[in-house]
Amino acid sequence: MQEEEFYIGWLAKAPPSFARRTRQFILVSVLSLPLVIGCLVYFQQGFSNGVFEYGKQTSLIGKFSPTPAPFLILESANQTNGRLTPQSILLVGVGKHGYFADPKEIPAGSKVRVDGFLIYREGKVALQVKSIAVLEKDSSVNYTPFASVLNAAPIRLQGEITDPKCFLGVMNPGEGKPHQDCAVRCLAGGIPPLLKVHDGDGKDAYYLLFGPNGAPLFPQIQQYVGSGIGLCGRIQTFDNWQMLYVDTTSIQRINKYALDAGPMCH
Amino acid sequence: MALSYDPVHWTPHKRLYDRILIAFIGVYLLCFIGLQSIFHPDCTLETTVIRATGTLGFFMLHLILIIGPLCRLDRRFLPLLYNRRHFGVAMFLVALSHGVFNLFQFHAMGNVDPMVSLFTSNTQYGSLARFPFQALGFFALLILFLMAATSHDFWMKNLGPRVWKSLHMGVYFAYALLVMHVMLGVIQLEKSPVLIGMVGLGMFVVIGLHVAAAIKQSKIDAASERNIAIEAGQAVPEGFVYACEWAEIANNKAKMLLIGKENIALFRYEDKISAVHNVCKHQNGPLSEGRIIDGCITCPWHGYQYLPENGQSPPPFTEKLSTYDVFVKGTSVYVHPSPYPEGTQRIPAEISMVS
Repeated sequence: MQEEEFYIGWLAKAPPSFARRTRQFILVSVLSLPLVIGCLVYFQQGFSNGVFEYGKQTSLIGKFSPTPAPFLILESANQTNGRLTPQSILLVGVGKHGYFADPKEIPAGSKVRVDGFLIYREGKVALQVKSIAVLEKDSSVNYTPFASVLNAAPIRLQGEITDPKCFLGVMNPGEGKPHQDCAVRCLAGGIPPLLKVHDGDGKDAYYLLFGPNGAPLFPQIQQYVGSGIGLCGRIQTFDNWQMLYVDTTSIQRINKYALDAGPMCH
Repeated sequence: MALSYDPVHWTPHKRLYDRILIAFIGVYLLCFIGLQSIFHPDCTLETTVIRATGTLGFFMLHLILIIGPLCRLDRRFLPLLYNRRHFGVAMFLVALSHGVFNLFQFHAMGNVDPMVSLFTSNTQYGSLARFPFQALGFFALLILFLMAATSHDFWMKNLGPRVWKSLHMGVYFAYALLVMHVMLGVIQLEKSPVLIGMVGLGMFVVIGLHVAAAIKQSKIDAASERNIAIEAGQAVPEGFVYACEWAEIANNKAKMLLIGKENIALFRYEDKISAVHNVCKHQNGPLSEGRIIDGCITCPWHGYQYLPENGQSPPPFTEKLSTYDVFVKGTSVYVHPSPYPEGTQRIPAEISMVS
């Protein structure tokens, strides 16, 4: 009778049947790699074309507007780095921080030169500020670049709250459950929340969210970040940005893409 | 087997094993990053690295978990088990890189410490759908760290095989945490049925192979069980239990017996029969599936060796097993299920080839 093979790891050579079976396991594992990786990669839902020009510094000159969120207001839309830069650029800080300026050092309406790194997606532009230099201080008390009339009637919107810095391009994807904690940290750091509204026709609209009087909404909205919510508020439009002044009592959790219009706004 | 604690006691098999392992990891990462850059050129490098390392670690954990039951079902898979701890440590390092990238990407450079952020950014611990999935990943990584850190024989020796093995069974808890980590995390964003199906298939394979191995083992156990009350022989010394006919045991091989709580390996060699405790001192390997090689019982898992007459590892090694008395009458073999202290010399029962 033929002696049954026995494997001992510390011997130099494995018996042929053991070596063969091990090779088969390795072969199956390796051959499954293209299928596993192919499925994992191919069946991801896709990524936005948002861009963060980290390391590629841009200098812009315009007027500084600190409220309700810090903006750099260019004199007009222009070409920057071969691309159309809209008139209003949201300023954000380094890491998961908003940009804050001392009003004594940089009064509203001051002409400034901002150096930083552009972040842009679908016509919305933000700039991570590296440095800012005041070229001309403004002495006027009420600088109001967002001159458009606030919509008198509140409207109801539903979508997902994230942070504009990551969403526009620093992270990709900068939304959904995996990004939830990061969005919370960005909002806690002073970046204004962004509401992404899906209109059902494959187009999205974006709103920067503030309290009824332009106050920050964080931390009231922390529990709603990264999941579907419905809320009421009044819209203010400037350039290609839309601000939504939210009635904080109206916020409720919903299915992100629910078609139900929800309760009326008052 | 080794007397001293080398960082790694290299053998040709371990070297080959590690080379294949490193190549596997490298090929996976290169293929993932390459395909991601082709199919999703807009994806950031950070996200690509996070997804590549996360999926690789999860895939490796599945392979690690199926090696055990595969070896139970077909012992020719044993070379995969021999160096599995290197596989485990490599998987931990991949998972660690995933965790560190995530911690930096999602929690660093904020207004609180990243570790504080990990547990306080999402506080919806009471909701299943909104549960903080990253905390699950953190605790799974902690378990994997404990396992990787104690994987060396130094820890096995000092913790004892029973404690060590119990600690390392934590891999199943880590696996459960990681399944939840995936399902409550990225699958909440990436909702492709294919991706959900892949997680389900992985669970099915892991659970299915474990169930199949458990069924096979339960059949072996049932066949090995001896009932003291019924089968105690009358014409043999008191306390001895009928085990089998000696012809049922192949030369230089063993038969497993379960008598009460005693798990016994009955070895036949050189026309003699000896009985020792069936559990290897190294990693609780089943000695009855081993062989007598060079006069020593040799464990099928990692080649630990013991002398059949006294259960002692040959000098200078110091591992010891409990031994049992064996009695042969005619063609029948009887065992006394009371163990002697580990390493106690017992006279093997002689078998007569002439009946």
